[in-house]
Amino acid sequence: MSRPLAAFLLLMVMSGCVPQAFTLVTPGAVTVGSVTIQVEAGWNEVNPAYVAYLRKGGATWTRDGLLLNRIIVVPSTAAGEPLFKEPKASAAYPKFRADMLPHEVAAFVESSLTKIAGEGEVLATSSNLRPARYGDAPGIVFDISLSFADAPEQRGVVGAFVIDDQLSFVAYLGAHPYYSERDRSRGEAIVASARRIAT
Amino acid sequence: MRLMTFGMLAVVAVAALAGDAAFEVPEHAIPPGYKPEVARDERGIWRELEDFEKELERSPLRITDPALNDYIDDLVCRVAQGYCGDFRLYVVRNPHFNASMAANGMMVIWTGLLTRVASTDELAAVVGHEIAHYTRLHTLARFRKIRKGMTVGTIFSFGLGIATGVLMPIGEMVAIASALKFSREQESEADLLGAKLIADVDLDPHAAYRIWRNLIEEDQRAEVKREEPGLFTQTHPDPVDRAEVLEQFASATYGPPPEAARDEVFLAVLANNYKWLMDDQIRTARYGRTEYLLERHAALGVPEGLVHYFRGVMLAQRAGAGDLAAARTAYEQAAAAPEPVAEAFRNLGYAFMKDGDVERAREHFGEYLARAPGATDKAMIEFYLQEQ
Repeated sequence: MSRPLAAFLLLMVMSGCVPQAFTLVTPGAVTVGSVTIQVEAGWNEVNPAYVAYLRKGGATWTRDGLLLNRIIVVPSTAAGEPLFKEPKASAAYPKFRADMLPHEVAAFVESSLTKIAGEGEVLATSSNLRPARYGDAPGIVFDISLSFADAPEQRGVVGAFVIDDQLSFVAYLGAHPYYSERDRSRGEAIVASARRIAT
Repeated sequence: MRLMTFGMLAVVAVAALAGDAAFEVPEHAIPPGYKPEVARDERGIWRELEDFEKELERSPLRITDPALNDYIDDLVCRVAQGYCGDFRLYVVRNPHFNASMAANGMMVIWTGLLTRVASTDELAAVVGHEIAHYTRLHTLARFRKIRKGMTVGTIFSFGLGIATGVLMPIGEMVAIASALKFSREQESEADLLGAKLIADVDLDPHAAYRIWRNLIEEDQRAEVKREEPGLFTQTHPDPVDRAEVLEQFASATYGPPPEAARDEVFLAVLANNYKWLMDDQIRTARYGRTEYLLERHAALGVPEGLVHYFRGVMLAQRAGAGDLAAARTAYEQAAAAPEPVAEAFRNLGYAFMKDGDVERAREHFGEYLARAPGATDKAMIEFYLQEQ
């Protein structure tokens, strides 16, 4: 590395110009785009610049580090859009459809998670699909498991509901078994607290 | 890191060659039971691979079903003949088409291979190709080629840099290009020796080129094309050339192909594992490819209830013009088939519910729960039944 470049980078770091990776999430009602979520203390928002899959307006939080636990919030996905940021058209991310049935939403999430982890690198499976309510809105909740070729399994819970043809998605994932079990009730509470903001 | 190391050391199977039709089938370069004892670099490669293999043994994506493993293992042994004891098979859950052989005899088969071959002969052709990589010591030869080329290339680049004042990795680029050409030559060798190996045990060597023709057709049907590697990074010959050479070789050496016959053993294996295999394919959201595979499976004789069901799932996922209506028809066909998939009734139940036909929705949901008493979405179905 050239000396001027090293000096510039050092100056950037010292002056705080390098994007901060984590920001403490203030406990209470937190707004993410068109969705509010009740959050307890201890979660940190990951700078979106460090989360390649996150579409504009979404959020990722973690307590202990992204490999150990995370909350993913994608407040609104319109018909024809992918759930996560599609890196290139050849990645062939599945697209949301406003009239998806409950099991089709679960399959859409499975496929979307498969895409961001890498086709063939992960086995994403949903189970225990059940009804849920998000305020006045009917929705669904289901368990999710991500088995990786060479990383610890992640387990968690996904909540989803559709209002005005827009999908709201909140997921909790934790490394199995320790973090997924330790934080499961926390994750479920966060998922269940999601509400669409009245417009 | 470990994966990268493996990627460098393993000979990625499925792909190969080109060239003219002077068919000199190479001989095995090592005897059965071979172990590296002299060369330090070879022993080092084996040690690295042993570490990787230990991780692969524990991988949650490894298929441990005894019936499926036995079927492929028996085939490996049949094709390998005297080398049978040199190989350890790992069937890995991955919806894409690939197989690989490491220098130490660790053979990896991706499950996407099973949805893409049409018979035991075609699966054997891939296995034979991999075995040929092993017995020809291809991994070691390639490793040495790259090491030597990069050393010379670096010295060349450095010398050029001193002479011109501009440091460019020209020597290294030449070395990489040379290694890629070498890799393509190895693939050609493995193709011919692999086809010979399967012919030696009374399997059909014509299967070797049929696989490539099918893959080419699948690729043409893809709605979203994958990004192909650039010319400079291609480790394998063009599939069209490869199929042509293999066809010429098989026809010239073994005569015309035998009459096509239904492979009941392979079909049973495919049908027994079809649900999870196609669930994995569906998750790729690659509709054109899935549609092509389903058409092939129908022609092969996979139970129609399974094929109709997954066609319905694919159409509902794609949701293009007319797809949702076609999906419903496919579910109806799946439900009417001799061995229907339980989920076909569920999906029809939802369809009737959307229509407002509560009676028929109840009937189909009831049929679903009767056929799948352990269904984990039971709460969802019961919720809809109570809502009506």
